[in-house]
Amino acid sequence: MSEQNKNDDSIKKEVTIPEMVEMNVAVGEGTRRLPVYLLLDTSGSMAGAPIQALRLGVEQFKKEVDDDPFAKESVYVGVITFGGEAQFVTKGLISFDEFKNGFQVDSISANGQTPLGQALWLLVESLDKDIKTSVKGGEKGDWKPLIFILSDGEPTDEWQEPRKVISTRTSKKVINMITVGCGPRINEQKLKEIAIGPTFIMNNDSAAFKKFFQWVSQSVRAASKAVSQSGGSDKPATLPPPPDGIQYIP
Amino acid sequence: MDSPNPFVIGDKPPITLKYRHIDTRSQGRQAGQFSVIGASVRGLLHCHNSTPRDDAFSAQFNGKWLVVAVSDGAGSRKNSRFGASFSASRLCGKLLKAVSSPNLKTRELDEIKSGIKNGILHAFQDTHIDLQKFASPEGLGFRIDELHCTLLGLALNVKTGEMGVGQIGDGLILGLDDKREACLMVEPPSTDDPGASYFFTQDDWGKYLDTKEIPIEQVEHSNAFFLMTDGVSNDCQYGPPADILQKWANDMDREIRLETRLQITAERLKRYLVSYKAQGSFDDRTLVVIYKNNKETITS
Repeated sequence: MSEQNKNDDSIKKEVTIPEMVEMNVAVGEGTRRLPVYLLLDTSGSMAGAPIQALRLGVEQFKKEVDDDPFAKESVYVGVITFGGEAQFVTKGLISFDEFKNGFQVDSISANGQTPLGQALWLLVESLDKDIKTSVKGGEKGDWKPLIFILSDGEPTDEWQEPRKVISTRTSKKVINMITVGCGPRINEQKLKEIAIGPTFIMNNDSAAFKKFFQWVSQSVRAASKAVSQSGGSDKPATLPPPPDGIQYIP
Repeated sequence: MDSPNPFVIGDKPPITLKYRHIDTRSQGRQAGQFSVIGASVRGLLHCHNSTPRDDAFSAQFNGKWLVVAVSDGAGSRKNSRFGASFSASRLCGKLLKAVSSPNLKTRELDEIKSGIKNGILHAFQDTHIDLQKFASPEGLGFRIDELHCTLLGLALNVKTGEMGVGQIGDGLILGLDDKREACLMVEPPSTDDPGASYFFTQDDWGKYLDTKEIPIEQVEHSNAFFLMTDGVSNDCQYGPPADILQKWANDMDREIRLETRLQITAERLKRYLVSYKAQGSFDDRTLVVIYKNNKETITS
């Protein structure tokens, strides 16, 4: 035992201290949430195998986050789909437990065009309305959201304005937005224009979707640990490296 | 009971890279009419990841002045425990030196009328200079941003009731008065974003330091003072319930007075910090409590 340890009263006396009464002290019941938004392309071109792979991926995300005691306690999920019309299918941010037990992946179906702009407006609305800031003597604020956008094609509506609104926010700033394009129809240049954070491409087969959602899960798990320590959210979250098949677009 | 015996407790300053920051620490001592107990424990996340505790605390008493510091090393910096333990320990030394100096009011910041506030400011400044030397190639060879840490300090003359506090970054210095009201002793600037903090180690740290002299009458009407890192303050200052800070401070004040032996009280505090549950609370937890004695308080 080092000199330092010898000097520590607790270590010296721990074995000799008689039974002691536990302290009974109130603690706040508020939750500091890690919001995770999934913006998923459900346009007609995703019909068939891709949408099925996407559903399996969401199930996989549920399972992997559920396996992490730190993540499942703090993660809140918001799913926005954009196919035909954009929809906030979780009706806002919901607790991970609610998402795991109440969100049916079969409710995700593919049809219509690719209204990414509408989806981004729904995201803006939720950032304004649902993300909490800390109030001393009031509620705990949320951690900075993690946002994943997955699309297999070019937007069919006006997306520039909501993108600008998101990228220029001065409060409830968005610093962790990851954009992934999948399949052969992706225009890399357009994808880069849409993206606010790092941009990736991948195939649209079931193996690629599986890897994508594994990576999302790993990222969420890593972020849930990083943010809960001091200084953890002073810069964009350090994501685990994407797996083979998900390629970074510089 | 008057106990003029000087003491030094808490985390020791690191001297070499082999410095081992133990996982938990708890100690208690008597400082005149005040008792001091402190405990610091490794958070669940550090336990899960097998990484060390990043928090630190230190307290010193010279028979007249009691000084206390707590520091929270940034979880995002793997060597931040070096910064936290060095800063807490060194600030205590500098505070004692500053507030004990007969020239407290004669250094270059004469425009600051408060001698103790001036002393607190200089103690932080001198600690920062020493931290830079400690981090330099002639020291342990760190970049200073590898040592990112917050720093909270308090100096109290246990005989006269003179008191000052200073804080940069997250955490709380809280007082509980004899009407059972809890109030923040100092309110430094904070970032808008949860989880982000200003650090004692950043270049412009002075902009975010707040120091304050506490009026003697306020000290006389106070029962206890609490210094804590954000691993504790995040769980006691945000509701629901809306009055959680009041409840927490009164509960803690009651609990620490249940047992008169300080070492056992410190051990109880440590066990409490290790075991209490709050949703999403995985960080290191450090709390030092300074409280006016029950009549029967004894030191062993």
